[in-house]
Amino acid sequence: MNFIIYKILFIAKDNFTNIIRSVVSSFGILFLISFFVIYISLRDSVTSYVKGNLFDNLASDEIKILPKNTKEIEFVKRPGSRAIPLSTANTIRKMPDFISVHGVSRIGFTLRVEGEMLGKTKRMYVPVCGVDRDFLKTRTNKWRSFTNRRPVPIIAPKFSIDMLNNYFAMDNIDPIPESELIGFPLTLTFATGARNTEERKTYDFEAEVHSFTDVINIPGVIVPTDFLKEIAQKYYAENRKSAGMEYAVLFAKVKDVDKLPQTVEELKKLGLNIQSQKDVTEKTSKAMRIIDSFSLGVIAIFFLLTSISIFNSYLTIVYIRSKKFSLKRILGYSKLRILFGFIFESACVGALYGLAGYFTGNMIIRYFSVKIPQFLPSLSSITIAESGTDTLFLCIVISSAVSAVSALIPAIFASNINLFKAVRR
Amino acid sequence: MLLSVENINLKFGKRVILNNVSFKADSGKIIAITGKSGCGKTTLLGIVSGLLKPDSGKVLYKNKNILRWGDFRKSHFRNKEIGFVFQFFNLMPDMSSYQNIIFPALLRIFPRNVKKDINNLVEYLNIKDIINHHPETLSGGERQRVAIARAIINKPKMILADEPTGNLDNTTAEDIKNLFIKLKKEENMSLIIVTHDKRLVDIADEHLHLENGILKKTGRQKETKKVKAVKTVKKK
Ligand SMILES: Nc1ncnc2c1ncn2[C@@H]1O[C@H](COP(=O)(O)OP(=O)(O)OP(=O)(O)O)[C@@H](O)[C@H]1O
Ligand SMILES: [Mg+2]
Repeated sequence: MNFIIYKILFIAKDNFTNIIRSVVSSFGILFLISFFVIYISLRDSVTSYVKGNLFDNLASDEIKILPKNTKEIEFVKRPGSRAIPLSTANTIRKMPDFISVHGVSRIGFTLRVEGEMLGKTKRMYVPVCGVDRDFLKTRTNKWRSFTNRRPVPIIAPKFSIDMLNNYFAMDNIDPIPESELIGFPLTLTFATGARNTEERKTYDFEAEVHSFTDVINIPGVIVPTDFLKEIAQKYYAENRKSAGMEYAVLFAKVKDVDKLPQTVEELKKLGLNIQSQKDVTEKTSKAMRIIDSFSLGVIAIFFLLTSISIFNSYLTIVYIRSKKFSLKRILGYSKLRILFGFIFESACVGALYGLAGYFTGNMIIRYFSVKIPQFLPSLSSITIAESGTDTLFLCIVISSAVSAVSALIPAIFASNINLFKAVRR
Repeated sequence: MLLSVENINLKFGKRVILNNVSFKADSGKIIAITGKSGCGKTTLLGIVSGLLKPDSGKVLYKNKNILRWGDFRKSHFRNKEIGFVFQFFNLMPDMSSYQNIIFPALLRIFPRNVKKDINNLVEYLNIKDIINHHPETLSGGERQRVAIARAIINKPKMILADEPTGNLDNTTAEDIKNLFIKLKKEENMSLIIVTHDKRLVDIADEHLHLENGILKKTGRQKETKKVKAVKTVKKK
């Protein structure tokens, strides 16, 4: 037993210098694997972002109706913004093809939100859009209470929690968690017309925070469409003028999926831009293809550099140690054992780097997932998650394989050295 | 018969090195092979140990042709069945004498504990002082003794020794000679010794001479051994 331990130590010591050499030369695997980890989690987060986005996620019997020549939903009304007029929306609603039609609506009013915290009042102008309750039904859990009621429920994007807390921090108020902000009272002031003119009209409402969402990327708030309609009606009644109520997008559920092509044709005649699940999937997969091909390119370059350097260093080992390999063979090592020794050693070194690369990659992800939203709040809805144990496993396997494959040819050289020539030197 | 070499032919390019060479070696026998420098003695040992394939012929070890064996079986054969003392020693440069000697014993998955055997050998071969030194610091004779110790550590059935006393002084050469006799008698080993050393030729049961590719029996052999050798041949 003692002697077996002696043997193991002996062999370990014998291989030590070789291992040091291969550890140094295999350093490139670290980059390969960390990049791989970043790529995997980036891909995951983009996929889940696209899938999870409230307005990008279509069921197979659902279509997305946009104004002509628009590709993305314009949540905020700007001069020249294209829209689906209420009349067109009504026409669509009346079409027999659909089970239901919901949308995102806009109004030609500015919104000022006012809130009070510990006796201090904060005011802020924010973009606003309206969403039908039934639209949320299939997409969020907390949809029932999103009705046109008082106080008016508003949905805010998740990153606004951080923004609010940053404001609070300026006044030395401790950060408030999401759960405590739900139900927070606010005052909404809708206004139209230039200040200090007769056209100027304002409407005040009591409101409360209904929920936060990270599946919508507008820098504003969402209120029930019915509530916006109420303001529009009130404004019309008082001024006999339109409040500029319109739809930015409509989502329609068809009765018969087979008839979808005809329906789409009809809608196109109305001058509308239609997207179905297929289009969204295509759009997503196109984005994915760009990410994939870029990443695979980088990975391929890393792979090439790494494997060349490993190959080269093992070849040097073979050259320097050819005498030793042949002696080992003469003393009884089989070809397979020489081969296996090489492969095993390089695989071990590879596995080590797989582990290191995994943690390095995750460290980079952790750093950037904190930094990115700080600089680009609009990207905060993309959460880059660290990769899990399955990725760790994958990393170790890939890394070992890369290392072992790179060492294979030198290993074959080493095991095929001409023994008789070797002993005559 | 432990080893039977039959009709070996080998050419390097156009030059005939071995021409229809045959000989036999048995357990408990010493065979001395002599010949001019460059005549092919090392080459012959290389063929016997399976390091080199001849153009034609057979090398039967325990009636099996080792030339047909796969690498695995050959490796095992080299590790367990034979011990090779090379002309140029071929010690591992990055290992101490002790590590060089123990190395062949460590090759098996569950190695036999040979520490005691090594101590005895070290004592006998008088290499105690240099046991932890590396080959480059050793003299030719010291290297030769380490190489001999390495060749016999696994208690092989057959020793192939290429000029084993070439670098040794008289006393040490005498010790090696006695060691070989001891291995032959006590361990019943078969020894094939390529040598120019008269002392080793004298202890041989059979003396073969290689010239122009042809291997021939020469010289006088000890009476008793001769009788024995005839007996075994008759038995067959
Ligand atoms: N691979 C080879 N290719 C060509 N010629 C070779 C090769 N190996 C050996 N030789 C030649 O074969 C001949 C026999 O070599 P070998 O080493 O067997 O001689 P030797 O009898 O052991 O000589 P010495 O007593 O000097 O050791 C030599 O002339 C050598 O140059
Ligand atoms: Mg020779």
